[in-house]
Parts: sequence; C-alpha cells; structure tokens
Amino acid sequence: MPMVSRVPVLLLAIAIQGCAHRAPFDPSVQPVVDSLYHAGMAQAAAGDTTAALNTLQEASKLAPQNADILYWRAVILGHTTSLSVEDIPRNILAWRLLERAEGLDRGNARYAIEMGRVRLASPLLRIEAERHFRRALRIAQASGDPLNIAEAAYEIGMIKQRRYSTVRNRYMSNPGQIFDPMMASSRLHYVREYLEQHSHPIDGIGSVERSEAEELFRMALNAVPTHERTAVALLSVLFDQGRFNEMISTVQPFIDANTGSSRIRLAAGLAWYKLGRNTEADSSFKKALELMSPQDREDMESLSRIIRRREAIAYQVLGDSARMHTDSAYWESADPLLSTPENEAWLEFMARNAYSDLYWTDSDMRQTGWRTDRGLIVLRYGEPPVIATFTPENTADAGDAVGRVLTVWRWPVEDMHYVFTGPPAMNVASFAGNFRSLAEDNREDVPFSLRNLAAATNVDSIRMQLARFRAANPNAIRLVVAAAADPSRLYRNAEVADGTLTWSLRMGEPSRLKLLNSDTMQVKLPAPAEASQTWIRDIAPGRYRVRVEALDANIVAAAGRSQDEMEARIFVPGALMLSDILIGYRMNPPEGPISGLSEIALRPRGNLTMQQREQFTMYWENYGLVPDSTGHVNFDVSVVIRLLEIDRSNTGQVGLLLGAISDAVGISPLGDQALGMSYEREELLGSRDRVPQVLNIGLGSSPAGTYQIELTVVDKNTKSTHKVNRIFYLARK
Amino acid sequence: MSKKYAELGSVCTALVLSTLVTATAPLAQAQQGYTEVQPSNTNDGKLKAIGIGAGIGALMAVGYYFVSDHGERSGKCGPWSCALPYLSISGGFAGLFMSRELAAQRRAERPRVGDRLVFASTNYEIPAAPIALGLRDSLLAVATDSGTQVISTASRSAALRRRGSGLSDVRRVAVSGGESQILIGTSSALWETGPTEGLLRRVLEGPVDALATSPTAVVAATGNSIRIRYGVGEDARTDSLAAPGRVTAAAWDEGSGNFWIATDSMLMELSISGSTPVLTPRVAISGTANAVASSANWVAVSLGNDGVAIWSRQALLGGGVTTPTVLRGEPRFAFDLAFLNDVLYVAGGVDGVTKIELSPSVRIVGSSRQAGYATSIASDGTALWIGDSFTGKTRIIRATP
Repeated sequence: MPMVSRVPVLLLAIAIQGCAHRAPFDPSVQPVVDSLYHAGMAQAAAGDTTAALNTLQEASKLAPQNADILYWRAVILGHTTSLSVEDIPRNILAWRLLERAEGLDRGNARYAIEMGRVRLASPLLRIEAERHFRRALRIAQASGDPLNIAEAAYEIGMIKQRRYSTVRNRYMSNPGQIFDPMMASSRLHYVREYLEQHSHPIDGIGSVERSEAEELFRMALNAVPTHERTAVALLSVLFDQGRFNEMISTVQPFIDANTGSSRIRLAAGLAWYKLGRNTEADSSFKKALELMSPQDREDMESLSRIIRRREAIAYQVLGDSARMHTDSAYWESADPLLSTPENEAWLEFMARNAYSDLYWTDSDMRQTGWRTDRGLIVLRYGEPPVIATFTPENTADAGDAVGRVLTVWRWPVEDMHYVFTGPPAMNVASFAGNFRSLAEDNREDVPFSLRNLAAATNVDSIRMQLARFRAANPNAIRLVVAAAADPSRLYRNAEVADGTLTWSLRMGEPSRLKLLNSDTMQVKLPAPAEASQTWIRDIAPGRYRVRVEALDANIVAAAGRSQDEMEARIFVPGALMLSDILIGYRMNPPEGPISGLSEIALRPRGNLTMQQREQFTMYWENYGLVPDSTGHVNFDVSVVIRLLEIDRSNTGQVGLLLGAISDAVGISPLGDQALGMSYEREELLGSRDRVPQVLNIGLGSSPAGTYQIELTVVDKNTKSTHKVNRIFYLARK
Repeated sequence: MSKKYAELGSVCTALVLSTLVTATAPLAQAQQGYTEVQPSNTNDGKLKAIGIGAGIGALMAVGYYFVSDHGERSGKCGPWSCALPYLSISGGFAGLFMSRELAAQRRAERPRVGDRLVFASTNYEIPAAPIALGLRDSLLAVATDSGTQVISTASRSAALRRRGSGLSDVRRVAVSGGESQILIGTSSALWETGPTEGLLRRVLEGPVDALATSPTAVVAATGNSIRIRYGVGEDARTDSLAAPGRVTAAAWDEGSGNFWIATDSMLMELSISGSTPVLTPRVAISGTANAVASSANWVAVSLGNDGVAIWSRQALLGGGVTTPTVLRGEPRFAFDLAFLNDVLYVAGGVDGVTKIELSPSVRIVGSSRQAGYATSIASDGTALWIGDSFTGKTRIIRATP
C-alpha cells in the first residue's frame, strides 16, 4: 500500500483505538475472544502477520481491556516494520497499544521492552529506546522476572554493543583529509598510504561501551543462562578480545542442556578452532549445520560463493548427488593434510562463516551475517588483518562517507583491500564505490584463498616416484609408489631426540581418494639419511590420483605431502612395451637374467634425487619381446640423459642473470647430453613373461639440476621400438 | 542599584557554587602503597566537574569584565548580568557531560569488587602467548607455542632461554625436583628435556590434561588415568591409578607433601606412602577446575566462569564443614591461581590479577590490570609470576604485591 493511502488508515485506526478501550466488556463474548486470540497467534506463528493483525484487532474490539491481545498486536506491528519514515504510523499505533496494555497490566516489564523496540524501529527516536529498556529492567528487577531481566539487559547491551561496533577500529584522518572509496579502487597504494600516512588509529576507543555491553550481557545470562541472543552477543564481545576460553564456557550451558540454535554451535566451533582444538571445532560446526534449515545449510555449504562465476553457474545446476560428489572432491583436494582427522580447509571455511555470523547477523535488521557483502569477502579471503573505520563526514563532496561509516579492510601481504559503507550504529554495510564489481573481478583471479591456513599448517612438498609394471594378473597393473622426506627439514623447528613419522598412501579416482596404507616409523634425530617409504600395489586400469603424506602430529610443521595423477593402462600382450623406469639406490646388477623386481633388493628413491657424483640404479621391464627360434630375445637399449634445468639456487641475482644468458646463447651445458649409452643384449626368454633390466648410472661431475632419462628399446627380431622417459634430480653436494 | 546587586549576586552565586562543589567532592586520594582507592562518593565526581566547568565559565566572564571597556559593553552582553551566568551554566553543562564520560570510563576500568591495585613489577617479553607456567625452586618454565621459555627466578636479570621448541599443542609444563628436567605435556605425550641443554625425549604416551611435580615424582593425568613417574631417564618407574572422573588439574602441596587432584566434579588428595599411591576424595566441586593451589591454611580451585572456590585446609582435611567459599564476578573468568603468604591471587584474563585476602574473612581486596590478559600465575614465595597473553604484548610479569 502506498504511503499516502496507508497513513490516514493507520491514523484512523489509532483514533479508533483511543475510543475502543472505553467500551465495556461483555463476559459472554470471552470464548469468542479466546478463539480469536488463539487463531491470531496461530496465524502469526504461520507467518501470516496481516491476517493475525486483523484477527487480533477483531478480538480487541470485543475485549478492549485484554492486555495480552493489545500486547501481541503491538509486537506483530513492531516486528513487521522497517526503519523507514513510511512505517512511522504503524509504530505509533504499536506504541499506543503498548501504552494501553501497560496501563492494564502494571508491573510487567514486557511492555516497556516492546516500547523500546518500537523506538529502535522508529527513525529519529532510536536514541530514546535505551530509556525504555532501562525502565523495563527496573520493573523486571523489582518483580523478579528473570526472562524480562534478560530481555531488557540484552537490549541495553545491544545498544552499547552497536555503539562499540560503530567506533571500534576507528582511524582519525589528518585535518583536511577524507578517505575516498573511488580512489581506493582506482589508485595504486592509495589505501596503504592513507592508512599509514594520512590517518592514525585511535587506541582504546569504544572500550567503555564494550565493557558496559559485556556487563549487561552477563546480567542477562545470570538471569537466564540459556538466553541465546544474549549468549551470541556476549560471544562476539569475547571473540573481539580473543577470549576464546570464555567463549567455550559461555556456550557450555547450551551444550549441557542440548539446546540452542546453529548460531551457538557456530560460535563454539569458531572458539575451538581459534584454540587449535580442531576435533571439537569440527564437531561443533557439523552440529551447527545439522541444526540449520535445509535451505540455510545448503546455502552455507555451497561452493558457489568461492568458485569462479562461470563455474558457479555450472555448480548451481548440479543435482543433489553430483553436487555432493563435487563438494566432497573439492574439500578433499583443498585439505592441506588428509592424514589429520579433520579437514583444515573446510574448518577454515566454516570458521569464516561463523565469524560473519557472529559479527553481522542481526535480527533487527533481518540480516544474516554470512550472506552480507562483508561475509562474502571474509569467506573468500579470510579475516582482514587490518581494519579501519572512518567517521561519517558532513561535507557534500565526501561521496559514500556522507553520514555513513566507511570501513576499510586491508590484506597487506596480498596488497588487497575492500571498502564498505553503512549507517552508524546499525550493523549494516555494503560495498562502497565500485567495490562490488571489483570483488567480482577479483573472484575470477582468486575465488578462494587459504593463504592464512597454508601459513598456519606449514606443509612441505615432498617428492615421490611412481612406476607402473605389468602385474602377475595381466589385467592389472603393479604400481610402485616410493616417497622420501628429509627429516632434517621436517624436524627443523623441533629440539627432539626422536620422531614418530606416519606415512600414508591414498589412491583413487581423481575426485575420491581412499586410504590404502598407513605406516609409522621411528626417526632418530638428527637422522643421517632421508626417511623413505615404498608401497607396491596391484591396481585395475584407470585414471588415479595418488597422494602420499608424512606427518609427525607431535611436532609443529613436521608434515609433508606429495600428489600426482596418472593413467594406469594394461600392458597389451604381444606388443613391445616398456614399464616405467624405477630409479633406486645403487645396487650390484644381478649376475643372470631375472624375472621381476621381487628378485632383486632394489631400494627405490622416493625423492628421485641423487647427489652429484653419486651412482644410482635404474630398473625397467621389457614386455612383448619376441624370441627367435632358439628362444632368445635380442634387443638394443639406448639410454640418453639430458640436463633440462641447471640448479642455480646457490647463485645470487647476478649469477641467475648470467646463467640465463649463457643458457640462451648455448654456452651452458643446458640441453646437453650428459650421458649417452647403448648396448645390445640377447637373453634366453624361457618361461618369463618379461625381460627386466638393471643398469647402474653415474653422471660424474655433471652440474646439479633437473635431468631426463630417455630409454629406447628396439626388438631386433621384430624391429619394434618403444620409448619411455623419467625425470630425476641431481642435488648439489 | 538593583542592577548592581543583581550583578554582585550572580558573581557570588557562581563563585560560591563552584567553591562549594569543589570542596565537597573529595580530591583523588594519593596512592597508598599498592592500592588506588576509589572515590567513595556516589556521584562519580559529577559535582566537582560541574563546579570546575562553572568556575572556568565564571573566570572567563571576569576576564571579559577586565579586558573590555565599559563603552564597548553598553547595549551588549554585560559581564555580570549576561556573560557570567551564560558562561557559568554552559561551563557547568560541559563539566557534567565530561564527568559522565569519565565516570563511565572509570566504571569500565575498575574492578567490580574491591580496589584497583598496582603491584611493583618487572616485565619479561616473550615471543608467544604463555600457555602454562611451571615453577620449582628458582626455575620458572613458561610453555608457549614457540617453545618453553626458562627463567631463573633467583637471578636479578631473570635471564631467559628457550628450551624444547617444536612441540605442537602444548598444554602443561612443570619443573621436576632438583630443577633437573623441564616437563612439557602436549596433546599427545609427556616430554622431558634438560633446563639448559639436551633434546626433548618422550617419557609418557598420551595427552596430558594435568601435570604437577614434587621433589621426587611427576604426576601426569590423561582423562581419568593418573600416572606417577618416579626418577628420571632409564631408571624411571611409572605407577598408574584411575580417578573417578576426568582429571582437569593437579598441584603439589608443599604443606602436606601430597598432590591435589581435581576432576570435573571432585577434589582429591593423592598421597604416596612408601611406593604406593593412594587417592582420597576430599570434597565435591561444582564446575570444572582449571587449576588448584594451596597454602599453609587454604586450598583453592579456579572454576572458570564459576569463579573461585576456597576451603580451609583444616576443614578439608579434618572432615569439618566442607562447603567452600565461592567468589564469582571478580574476576569474571578464573584461569589460574596462586598463593603468596596465605593471600590468594587469581589470574582472570582481561580482569587482570585479583587479590583475595582470606583471614580474618574472605575478602576481594581488588584487582591489578597490569596484565592485559592474565591466563596463568605462579608464586615463588616472594613474588608472583604472571603470564600475560595480551595480543601483541605477550610477556611474563614478575609482581611483588
């Protein structure tokens, strides 16, 4: 209804109210009144507030002295208004109803509380709300009404908290300076320079309001320990000061009583997460999701906010099953360490949602924190390390800052920033200037950053060697997975005499890994050699992702991981084929022909890295060599080793430059053949289905760097040729 | 004539008012020892501020009278009939608003109970937030995420050195008898290292929820299992016994020669007679104990949000009245506690360190806010050592109340 037509109607209604309460009450209509009252309440509960208001108004006409009916009419009116001039008549009506109800039911604090709430929803009159809440608190304390003590204390606390939220992180601009969001989005380094040179933070501002808010919230919780809105408000105050232990104590009554909504569990999860108690955080976040409505849960878990726009469109049309599969694959690949029981990336994602929920969910503003602009940016990039707010300006050329608080977030490492604008003392803000479109542009570059998590988990990259052979079952592939980690690097930060390193191997379809092996080894420190692990498994043909992790959970940052994808194909019987080259520690070659890897004691080198001048052994298997009439196979072997990249990590910038120039003009050994050898071999095939070969290699004084072995085998009986490659590394001695 | 009287009346009124209210409001009292006494008046200095504001206004009016010529003033705002009341009243209002703001700030900063205390102190910066303290004889071990800082409490310089770095999820720390070893409890094991050199060695498997040392034994608890380790190195022997609940805190009681063990519902005494450990339930507690401490006459536990519970040792051990004195509200969250000369000090996070006198009756004396976020506290008999986890200012404070 347009305002012009609504105002007279409501004013008329107010006038009618003024007369109605003087009408005498006929006791015979009480059953009708009760019936209308219950019907109205049911309609309100079902969300049909218009019908509820009409029904309660009918009841009010019959029983004008019924304070309950007046109260609930006022509550519904108050809760269906917004902070706009258009709704003022509605608020006036609610106010009048509450005044009448209070006159009929003196000593009940609920009317004063609602009056305060109506004032909060009335433009220009918000400042008066506190007086009503304080009056309500006095009435409730006098009557010993714990619920209304909690409600009134909560409301006053929220007023204080909103004031605190408005001024916290406040920066003061230097005289004559006004922060300009447009410049912030267009001029390089503007934000950094403004925060560092043209403004300064005001320490301790708002601490009085914060302290008062905390006292009031505690008063409310003393009255009703499971008053949820108060608990959430207190949790945000505690979180702000890093009081995570106290957050846990605050939510404990809810957990003990198995009550409270998802918001409590989200906040608890956030506190546990900040305390480094990932198991408890995981459990709290999962419980929070359980307690959400299906729609909220789906929205919160959706990846569409943290992937690129085009991918998000495709994601949103996925069916339930495909979406679940995608979610699972996404989080698995994002998890820094699969060996830990929790997925740290998912925990970070949920912690960011919980952070936004704690700070910006506001029932008065009908706002869900993690659905706001600020929630979106926190979700993608984490909590901003630098936050600055600027006081509203009153000059016309201040743009977005006129009468509004500007909030600047900055991530110094990434040199990224966002600016938001919102009215003071209301928990609302949206992108300032053209930051909305900037956010979309950034999303295409970095849709989701876990940089803070990577720094916290500090997982090393380790190398692994995958080698595919024909299995005993011709329809399977035998896979050798070898991995190695340098204990002196893994335990570089730890002063421990020994470590307990747990190796795990996971394999599966690229989108779904399964744990296949987990082995624990004791590492004496300082360790003289690298710690290595080898697994041999027969697998079916297909595409696989292989992930190896090494973790000592006792030690900070003693973790490494390696991941690769590969295709496992059947070695076609009858065709000349070569297995992968397996590089191992040097061993003496067998004296006669062998039938397979199990017959020799080759120790694979997981990290594929040898020292300069160190000899190593390469092993491969030839399949499909055709014997001659005497049963012998006859083949040529050619091994060529090339230097792909010189390791210049020990040279300075000048060395790197000179190295690059010498590579370009061809005076460096890059691309040179470091070793070339060929030989012819004839062996009796016998009953073997393969012809394994063992070869020792030494590269003399070749430079440190990345090398490639190119192995070519020619079957002299059939003239067939097959070729395989293997990358390896020479480390500086 | 009447105009002159009116002018004189205005001057007198303003001056008398300002003098009166200034004299009525007590001046801030000088510090008496460690205690900063709060003003006893209930108006939070409101009258004083109004008086000062009005006085300044009156002085400005007097200044105006002397610096302006009579001719200039004719037909304008006169110094006595106009400027004086106007400036006095507006000055009074300014004083009123300022006093309200200052009073709110004072209210926010002062303890809810007792006075604001200031202890003589020395600060020692540490690189990360202190998680726990362990103190024996003259050695203080401070567990942090960046290793354990070892501080000599005897040395005037209290030299810091770092030991046993690299452990993840550190929970507890203690110094063994004879200062021979630093013991560090993590979520996976109990570790041991020398105070000056040597690598960390794992001595007990399993998470450490509570840790305490006596001159001859180490008590480490995991869930409801209590393990007592005697000796060091290869010769060490370990006994185990089960507690009736999850153990949350342990402390060595020098007075009795026994350990106090707190579970989530019970305070117990662990005595080691000969080589047999005996666990004796002493009293039920309501809440989860974060820490236990004892003095010659008292035993106390910190219960987080539930405050501090205090028993007289005599009642606790003699089977008398065992209802504790429970103090809540100050501090709002009791992290840790320690006795110094039969006076109890509680580390209360943002509420700093609260001093509680127990004789002749239990009384909260006040709180010191010198630590921004006090989470741990230990006493060496002459001073308190306070772990301050305040963001960006992590430190150990040596305080002598």
